[in-house]
Amino acid sequence: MEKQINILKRRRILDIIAIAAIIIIYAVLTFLLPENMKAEEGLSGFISGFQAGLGVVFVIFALRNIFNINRALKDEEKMKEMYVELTDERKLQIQKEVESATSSIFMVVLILGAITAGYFNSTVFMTILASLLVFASIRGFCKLYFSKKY
Amino acid sequence: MKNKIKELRKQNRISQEMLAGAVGVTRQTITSIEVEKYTASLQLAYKIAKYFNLTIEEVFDLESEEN
Repeated sequence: MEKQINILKRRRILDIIAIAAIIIIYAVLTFLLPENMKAEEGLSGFISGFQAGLGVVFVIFALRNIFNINRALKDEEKMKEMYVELTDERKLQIQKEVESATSSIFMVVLILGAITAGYFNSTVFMTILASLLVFASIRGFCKLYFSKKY
Repeated sequence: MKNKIKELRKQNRISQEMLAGAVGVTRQTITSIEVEKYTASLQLAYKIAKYFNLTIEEVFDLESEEN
């Protein structure tokens, strides 16, 4: 249980750091970025709305996490519940399979997207191709890492 | 994998929640093992068998998985 308490305390610190980082990044990009470096007029509203929305959602999740961790640290029963939820082997297996299937499907979608975009727009094609290469490299690196680990 | 968890629970009048709490998993995991949708890890199989004071082979039927 002591190990679990330390993990939760560490997670709480990471959540606080994440919230602070989001606020700082958002403030810098909104107030300190020179006008000529900002997105073009037509899209800027949409982009800043997207960034703000993403930031708010992330902060809400982090605050919810902090609240749950504080509650678990005060109540041993809640701590046990949280521990079981986090370490339940069926849930972990579901999570692994979801991640694996999502990754494979996403790769196929990117390949199909790149093939299709190739007929219409070279910029979109190059963007998708770059995403595909980055994604495939990360996947390859992870496969190599875990093959050596286990 | 076929198993006798449901029978053993009924014999010992133990609920899924009680067994789940004792072996450190959620109730849904016990349900999935009982209906053979999920195969327990070696560690969990050992904990379940130990909870009923039995061996793994007495609780789980490994041959049903191999056939």
